[in-house]
Amino acid sequence: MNSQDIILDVKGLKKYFPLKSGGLFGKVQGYIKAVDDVTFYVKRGETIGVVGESGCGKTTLGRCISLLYEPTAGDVKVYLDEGVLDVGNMNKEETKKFRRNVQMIFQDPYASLNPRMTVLNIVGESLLVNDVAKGDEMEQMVGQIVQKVGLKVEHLRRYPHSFSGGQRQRIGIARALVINPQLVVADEPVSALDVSIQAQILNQLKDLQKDFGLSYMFVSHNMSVIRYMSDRIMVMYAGKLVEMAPREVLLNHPRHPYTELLLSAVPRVSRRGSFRLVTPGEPPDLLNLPQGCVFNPRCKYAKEVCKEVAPSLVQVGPDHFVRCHMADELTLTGI
Amino acid sequence: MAENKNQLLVEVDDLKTYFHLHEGTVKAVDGVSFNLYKGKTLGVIGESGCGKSVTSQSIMRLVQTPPGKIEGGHIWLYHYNEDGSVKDKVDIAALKPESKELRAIRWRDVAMIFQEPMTSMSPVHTVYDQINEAMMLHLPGITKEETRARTIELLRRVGIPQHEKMADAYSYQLSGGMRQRAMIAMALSCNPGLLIADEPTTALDVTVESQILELIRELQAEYNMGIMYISHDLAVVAEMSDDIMVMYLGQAVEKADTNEIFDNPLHPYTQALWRSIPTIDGSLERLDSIKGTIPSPYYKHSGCRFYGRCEKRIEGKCDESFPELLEVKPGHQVRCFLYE
Repeated sequence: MNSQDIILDVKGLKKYFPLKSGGLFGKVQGYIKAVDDVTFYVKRGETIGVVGESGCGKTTLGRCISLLYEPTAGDVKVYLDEGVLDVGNMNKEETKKFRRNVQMIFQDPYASLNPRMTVLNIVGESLLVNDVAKGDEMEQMVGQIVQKVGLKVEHLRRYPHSFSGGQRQRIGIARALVINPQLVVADEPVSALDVSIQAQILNQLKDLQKDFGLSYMFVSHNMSVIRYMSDRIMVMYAGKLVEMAPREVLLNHPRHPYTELLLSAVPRVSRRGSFRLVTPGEPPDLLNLPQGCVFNPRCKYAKEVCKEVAPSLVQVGPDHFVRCHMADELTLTGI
Repeated sequence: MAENKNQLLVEVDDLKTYFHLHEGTVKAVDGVSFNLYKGKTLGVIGESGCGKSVTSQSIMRLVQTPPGKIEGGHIWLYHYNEDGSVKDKVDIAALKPESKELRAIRWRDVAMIFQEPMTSMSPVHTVYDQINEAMMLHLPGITKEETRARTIELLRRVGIPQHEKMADAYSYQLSGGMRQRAMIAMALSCNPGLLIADEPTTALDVTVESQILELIRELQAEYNMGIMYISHDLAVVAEMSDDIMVMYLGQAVEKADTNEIFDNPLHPYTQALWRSIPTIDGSLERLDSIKGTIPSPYYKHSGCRFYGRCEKRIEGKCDESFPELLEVKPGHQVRCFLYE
């Protein structure tokens, strides 16, 4: 692929959290592999949706990409208009450039805004620390972006507590966008909001993407929201990327049994009153992952090989990757 | 025994539950009426602050007084004779808090499962201890051997593996899905006629959610329970319910059977809600968002509570008088001046 078209290229990303025994000098007993060998890319101007259940590593992945966590291993490259950043080997100058261009929107608009700062200071802070603007100029820039996300200039002197959940999330979006980033990682940006407010924020994010030419990495557990927002979708399970494909391909022609299970479990307004097939099994225990394919204990198609050998991610079509031994033999059901 | 599917279990009539706070009075439930029937599920949809949870807590009399108080209305609980005729009816709303009569109703007639099973189960008692306690309190004369056997049978029925061993586990030792199953087993322990499920799967992963929803439906078919299913998730309510009530700011704005309300929503709030939610299999057109935000609970409305956000409002009418919930076609009620 031409690197002109992609903004983020990630190869073999790992984030392991050490498990320590009790006490101050506790020994490392093992690792939780929150993100394990994830390889993907984000194209310029697109939205890639990251979906999975709790503990699948989607949030950790987003946090690694925005450098809130330092990855354990892996190769992350960001292709900006002003050059390439190799995220593992950045000097101070490059790190600053990275921070200016990769921003994050958080899940909980109640926890992610400092209650003792005004909107002006919350949103303007990144302009200050990055030496972009200060004083009146900063206020003008903050005023512009705040209006762009649907708030008013007179809100600038207020504190977060005087806003509703939806408005707070708009403040969080303004804070991410004020510095004119190229890639935005949005981690469950609507899951704390009421349903009538969700649509406002989702539409706003789409409009801003068009206006500013943003690329989004959109993390959510909600498959319906992911479908609405994404051009391509990646499905994670137990720290692994199990399938990645363009939206319609993934939804209509999934190739991984877990994708099929996930799609079948999504409640539907159209499926009123009819019973559905339910697959037994529980989300994986990250402390005790099975041998072989991580999904094999819940997989109804699993064969001997799945219990012994971990499959690797293979390409099965244009932009379509899947981590399954049986991908070529199975015909799976989409939505 | 006459297993009448349409036997009325609970009749809620003009229920008003208010909270008297420093800042003013919150009319959390303000004149809500509905019926719950044996073997049928009523879905209650609404956003935060619409009063759906306070309604269910009023039926169980779990609203803390003060600040909350049932200010008006009745919650009639029906008991039946073997032949299907009405034996008696009790007004739950009129019972004294912590009275013997109330205690006799909780769990035996009406049981409830909650959103977060971690906070609604005791962390210092085993699963068996808790189910045992419920049965000892509510089923006089039952022996320990019987409760033990019944607990294990219930845990088996709700799909908990190694149910004999798990009876002696503590709730923190169970996963979220298993905890919710244990909670359901507890709710079923006294064989209630009515089960209130208040967002029972909101804290669960989607694959586990589908298992729990299926379990609730199987158990309903088996025990012919009436269910009041409360959720903000339209799709879940659509899958679970026979009839649906949509609530907004303490009032029912629309009631109909599930097919009718999804195919032919009448209230502008219901219509807007349906169009504002992303789906897995519907249109990918731009979502219609409902403008504005939910008004403050202290706000004093001079007319329809949805007026400020409504696209079809009639100025001079909707903001000046209160619409009534009226039946506009058989089985379909709506609270809106457009249909008067």
